[in-house]
Amino acid sequence: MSTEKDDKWLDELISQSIDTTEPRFNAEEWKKKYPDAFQSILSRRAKPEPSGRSDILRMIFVHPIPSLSATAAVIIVVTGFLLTRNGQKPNGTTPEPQLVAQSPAKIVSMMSLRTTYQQGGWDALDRQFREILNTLGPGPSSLSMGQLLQNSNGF
Amino acid sequence: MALTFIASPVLAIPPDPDNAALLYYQGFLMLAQLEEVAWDHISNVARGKTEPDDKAREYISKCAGAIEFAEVAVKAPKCHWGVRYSQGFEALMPQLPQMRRLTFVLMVDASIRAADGDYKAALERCLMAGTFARHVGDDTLISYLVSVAVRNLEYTCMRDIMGRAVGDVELLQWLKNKLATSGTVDLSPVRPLKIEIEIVSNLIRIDNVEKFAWIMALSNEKKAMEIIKKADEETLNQARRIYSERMNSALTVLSTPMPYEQAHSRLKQLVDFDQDDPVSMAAKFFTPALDKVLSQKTAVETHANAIKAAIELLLSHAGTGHLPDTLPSGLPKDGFSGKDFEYEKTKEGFVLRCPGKDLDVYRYDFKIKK
Repeated sequence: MSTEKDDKWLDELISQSIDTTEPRFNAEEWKKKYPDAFQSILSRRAKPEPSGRSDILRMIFVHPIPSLSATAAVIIVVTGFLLTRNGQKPNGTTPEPQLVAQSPAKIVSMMSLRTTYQQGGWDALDRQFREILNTLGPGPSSLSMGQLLQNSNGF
Repeated sequence: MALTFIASPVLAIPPDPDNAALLYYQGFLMLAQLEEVAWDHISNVARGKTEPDDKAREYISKCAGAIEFAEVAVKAPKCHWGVRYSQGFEALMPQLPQMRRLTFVLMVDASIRAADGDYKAALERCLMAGTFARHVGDDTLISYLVSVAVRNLEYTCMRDIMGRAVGDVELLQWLKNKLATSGTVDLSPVRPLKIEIEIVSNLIRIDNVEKFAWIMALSNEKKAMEIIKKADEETLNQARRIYSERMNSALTVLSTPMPYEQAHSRLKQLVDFDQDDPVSMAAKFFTPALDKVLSQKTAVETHANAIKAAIELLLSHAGTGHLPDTLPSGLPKDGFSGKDFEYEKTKEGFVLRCPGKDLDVYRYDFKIKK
């Protein structure tokens, strides 16, 4: 089995059983899943600049938003860290928190999992595990080696 | 000499892996591809919320390959998951949710065996989950928390089966011996926390500011550049110092035998940072919820003690035909208070509760089969 023709049938058979599409972050789905968080971020554009240096940080750590996903919460924390280091951005304009599209694979990073546990405890971590499995898989091959080779010449 | 070489019994087939993780990874790939509603059902059966039905049996039968790999894996002498510590907090850990799913599958398999009346096989499956928990290990803090969750599921399943096997003295004695000799080394959060301290201490440095900024900015390039512009050596040194002091104090608390309330109170103080100080808040970003970690640790140890105490009560029931009216002395205790469990006979069997804790998560019900 060394010709291109023989290799091609194997590739086709494997691709039928394994999902090889690259996982993509679906921003629209994120917005639907976390409407309150999304609106909260959008509404910041209209609000005046916070008077206290650490209003954003205080908001997250003293008054956590239950519906806010851990990732969005950390984005806001980071924004607060950036802005409160010297009080305001270099050009003096109102900060605009941005919705950051992360690679889906990042949700299995040690930092992401830690942050989720930090924010929401074990239940939140369990939910993230489900999200990971639904989003990233893997999808196991349901074919045995015999089935994979059943169309091969000589078998 | 050539003939001797050809005739020598050198095996061409290499031995099976002695690293359990290699077998578990193959097992994860063999977990059936099911709809979310099916996994919800499996999860509910695994947690004891519902009895195994035909659907559960069908789902588990599709995971037979995964179970087979796990059966071999638990016998392997070591388990190294291959965590890429060089990546620090950016290390990806896709095996963790798979571990959770495999645990559900093992527990449902145990429930099915118990429903079919094969209590010993069911308990063997539970004990297998205990070995799996040890293998899940403490490479990282999250690994440790997953291993705790696996053990809790093991004990939840065991509680249900023990009550069904109430009259079987030999089986209960066998379980008691297995739990005493299983060699389960209680995993501790100390090792993963030491690893975290090293990761963070290397990270919060001016010569590593790009990586620090990248993690703080969650890979957002624009934000990371802003952090890099504003961070300086003095600020990073301050943040690192605050973090290290807090974490080393936490290690001392976790390594020193002391009452739970005392340890919990100290850890809670250590995760309380000055909210008006951005440097402190940066240290907080990397500090785990230490008080919650202690609670999880104590909860699983208490669950294990409740199982052992319950075995003695069931053995007493088997000998006399009825449960004792009061809790016998000398039984394993509640880890939160250090006192005996509160014991109460119920219509269905008995309950052991942690004194002073009213939540359902701190009560352990045992239903005795009539």
